Amino acid sequence: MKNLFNRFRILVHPLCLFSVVGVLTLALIYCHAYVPRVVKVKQVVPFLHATHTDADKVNMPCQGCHIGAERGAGAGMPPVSVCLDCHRHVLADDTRLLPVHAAANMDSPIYTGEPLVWKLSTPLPAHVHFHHSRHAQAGISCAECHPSPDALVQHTMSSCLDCHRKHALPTDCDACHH
Amino acid sequence: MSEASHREGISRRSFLKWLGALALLALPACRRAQQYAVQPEDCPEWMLPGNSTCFATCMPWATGAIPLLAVCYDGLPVSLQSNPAYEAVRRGLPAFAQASILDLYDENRLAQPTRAGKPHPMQAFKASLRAWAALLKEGRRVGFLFPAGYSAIRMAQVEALRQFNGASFYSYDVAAGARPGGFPELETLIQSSFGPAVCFDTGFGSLADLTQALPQLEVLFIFTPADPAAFDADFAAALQNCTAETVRLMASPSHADVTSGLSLYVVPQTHYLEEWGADADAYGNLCLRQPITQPLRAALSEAEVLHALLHQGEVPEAGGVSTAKGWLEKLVPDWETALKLGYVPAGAPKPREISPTPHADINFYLHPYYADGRFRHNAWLRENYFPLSGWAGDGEAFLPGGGSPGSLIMGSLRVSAWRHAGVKSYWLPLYPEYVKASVGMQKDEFIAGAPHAESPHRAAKPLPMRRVAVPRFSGKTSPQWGMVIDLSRCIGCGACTLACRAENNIPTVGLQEMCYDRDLQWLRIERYLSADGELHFVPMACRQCEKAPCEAVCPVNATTHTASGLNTMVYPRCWGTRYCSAACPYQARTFNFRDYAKAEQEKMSRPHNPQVTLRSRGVMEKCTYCVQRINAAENAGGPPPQTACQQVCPTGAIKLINLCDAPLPEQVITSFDVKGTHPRTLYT
Repeated sequence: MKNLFNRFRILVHPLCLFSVVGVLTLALIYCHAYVPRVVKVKQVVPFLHATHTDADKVNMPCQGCHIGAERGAGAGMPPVSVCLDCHRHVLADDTRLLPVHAAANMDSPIYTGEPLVWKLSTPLPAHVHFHHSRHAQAGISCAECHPSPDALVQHTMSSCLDCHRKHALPTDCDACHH
Repeated sequence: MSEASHREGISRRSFLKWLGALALLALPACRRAQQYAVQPEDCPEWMLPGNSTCFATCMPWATGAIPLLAVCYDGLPVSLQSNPAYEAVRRGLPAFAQASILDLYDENRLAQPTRAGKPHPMQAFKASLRAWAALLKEGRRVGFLFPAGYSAIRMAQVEALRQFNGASFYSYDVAAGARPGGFPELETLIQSSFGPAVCFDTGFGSLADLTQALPQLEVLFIFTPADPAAFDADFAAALQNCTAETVRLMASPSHADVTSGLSLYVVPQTHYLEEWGADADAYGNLCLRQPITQPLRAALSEAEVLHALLHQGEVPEAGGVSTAKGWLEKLVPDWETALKLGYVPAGAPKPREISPTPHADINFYLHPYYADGRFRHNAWLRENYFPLSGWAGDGEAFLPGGGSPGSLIMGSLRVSAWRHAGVKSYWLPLYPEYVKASVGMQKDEFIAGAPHAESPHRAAKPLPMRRVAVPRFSGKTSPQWGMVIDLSRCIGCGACTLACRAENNIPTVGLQEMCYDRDLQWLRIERYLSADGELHFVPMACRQCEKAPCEAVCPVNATTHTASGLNTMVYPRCWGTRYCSAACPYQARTFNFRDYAKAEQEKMSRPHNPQVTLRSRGVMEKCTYCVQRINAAENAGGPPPQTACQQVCPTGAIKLINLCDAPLPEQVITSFDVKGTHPRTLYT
C-alpha cells in the first residue's frame, strides 16, 4: 500500500491547515473588533430617528428624549410617556405604534402596562465606562460621534483613541477602564 | 477496512466526520448576548441614568441611631456611606452598619407571616390586627416590647396608646447594657462601632417587669430586634407558658432567633432602609430615616402596626409608608431641609451615660461586628478580618498572655482566641450560647487550646525598626495622587476594608477559599507586634509605586502607569500569569482563582456598583485609589475626591491627597517601604 505518512505530509499539511485557520481567525477578529461596522437591529417599534430629528421634519433636539446625554453618565432612553406626548394625537391609529399605546396609554383598549423593551444595537462592553456628560460638556456635538443614529456604527477603542490623541487628551487606561 | 470502501453509500467514518463538521453551524451564535434598555415610567427628572443618587437616612440602634448616606443607582441602594453633613458630630461609618445593606437583599428574610410555625397569609394577619385593636379599646391587657433607644414616632404613638388602660410598655436590648471595663483597645473599638454606653430614659418597663406581667397579658407585641428569650431564661420560660397571643416582628434574616421560635405569630418587618422613622443618637440629635426603596417584600413596620392598632386595625394598602411619614411631618420642624441634612441638630433628649462595670474573671463584650451575635449571618462581616484578634469568622475570645493565636474550649464549645498582652482575664463575645455555657463555670475550667486550623487568621508580624525620612515625589503636572495614612490614628476597626469591598464590588470567597488565603480584599489591616506586646495596625493596599515592580514584569502590559501617578489595572488585558503579584513586595495584589464575582451575583441579589467592572476568573485586581471616584470628581468639578476607605474611617487616618497641592507631612515612616519602589502611599 502506498505510504500515506511521509515526512512532508506530517509536517507541512498540518502547518498549512493551522496557518490558514489562524489567518482566517485573525481576519475575523480584525473585521469584528477593529473595523467600525454599521449595526442594524429590528426593534419592537420601527422608530426612525430621521423623522424626528431632521430639520425639515419634527426637528427635535437629541436631549429632548435622551435626557442623560448632557448631565448623566449614560444618555438613557426616554420613558414611553414621552413618546405618547405627541403620538396620543399624531398618527394615533398607526399600527406600527401599537406597542407604544399598549405600554403607556391608559385610555387605549390594548393597554397592558408592559414596558417597551428596546434592543441595544451597539452597546459598549461591560469593562468600558464612558461618561456622556464629560464629552457633551467639552463641546462635542451629538452628531460628531453619532452622525447617522438610524445606522449606528459600533464604536471601537481605536475610534475613541484617535480623537483623544488628536486633541492631546488623556489616554490613560483607567480613564475608561476601572 | 478495505471492505468499507466497496460498500454503497457513505461510510460510518465519513458520516461522523461530516456530523462533527456541522458543529461549525454554531459559529454565528458566537457573539455577545443581546442587551436591552428599558426605562422606568415614573423616574424623577433628577435621577439620571448611570449617575448615583444619595439619600440621607439612619440605622436605628440601642445606644443611638447612626446616620448614613444610601448610594443608589437606578432606584436601588447599592452601598452605604457616611453622611458628610454629620461629620462634625461623629466621623465615618462602622463596619456593621455598612454591612447591614446585605440584610435588605437577603433571600432568607421572612417571606410571609407564620402562625405556630406554619405559613399564614398577610391578609389574615391584618384581620387579626382589627381584632386586637378592638381588644385594646375594651381595655384588655396588651403588652408592647420595644427596642431600646428613643424614637420620636414611637413616643408619639405610645402617648396615643396610653389612652387604653390595658396597654403596658416595655423595652429591651442587650446591646444597651453596661459594658465591662479593663480592656482599653477593645473599648475603643466597641465605642467606634456602637457609640458610648448610654441609656435613654423612655419610661418603659424592663424585661423583668414584662416577665412578671406576662401571665396576665392577652396579647404581646415584640418589636425589639434583640433576642430576649435567648439571653433571659426566665423570660423564655414565661413566654413558653403564657396564654397570650404573641406577635414577633422580625426584620433579620438570621434563623437563630429563639424568641420567634416561642412566639405564636412571626411577621416580616421592614428593613430600616424601607421605612420612615426618627431616632435619637447618643449626642442629642434627632436622626431622620426615610425609605430608600419600597419594601422589597410584603412587610410591616413597627409604626404601621401601632398605627393600625390606633385606627381600628386599618393598615393602608400601598406599603403603608405614608402613615409614618404623616406622623413625622407633624413632629419635625422644617421637614424638607431636615430630610436633606439627615438629622435635626439638638432635636432629641440626650441619653445618660452608663459607667462601665468592674472587670471580672469572665467578661462578655459586644463584638464590634456581630454585636450580640445577631449579625453572624452577614457574609461581608464574616470575611472581614477583625484586626484586634486577627481572626475572621465567628467572633473570638481574648485571653491573657502575649500575642499568639489559640482557642478557648468550654464544654463542647470551641472559640477562636487571641492571647493579648495587657488582658488580665477572659473576654468572650456576648453570644447567648457562650453566656449559657459559662454559667457556673470557674475560670480554671476553661481550656486554652491550639488555634483552629479551619478558621482564617492573620498573624501578627514583629514590628520593624522605625525609620523616618522626608517625603519626596516626582511628577510635575497636577494632579499627582498620593495617600497619607496616619498610623497614630488607626484603631484597627476594619471599617475601611468593608467600604472598599462595597465600593469596588469585591466578592466574598467562602470559608474554604479564605483558609487557602485567597481573600480578595484589596485593603488589609496588617498587625505588627512590638517587643513589649503592643499591637500596631497598619492599613496596607497597593501603594501605587512610582517604580512599580509589577508594571515591569507584566507580559501583556495589563498594568500601566498614568500621568497622574496611579498604577492602573486593565482587567480585560490580564492573562492571569500572576507574575505581578509575585513581583509586588507589598503583597498588594489579589487574584481571582475562581469565578467569585459570578458566583456571588447568583447568590446575592444586591446590585453591584456599576462604576466598577466585575472581574472574571483569571484576573488580577488591586487598590486603584478609587479611580472611579477621582474621575467622577473631575467630571463634576466639585470637592476633591475621597476614597471609600477615607470616607468611613472614624478617626480620619486615611487621606487621599494631590501631592502638588496638599501640604506634605514633615516626616514619613519608611519602615514598611521596600527600596527602589518609591511608593505614593505614605505612612506617618
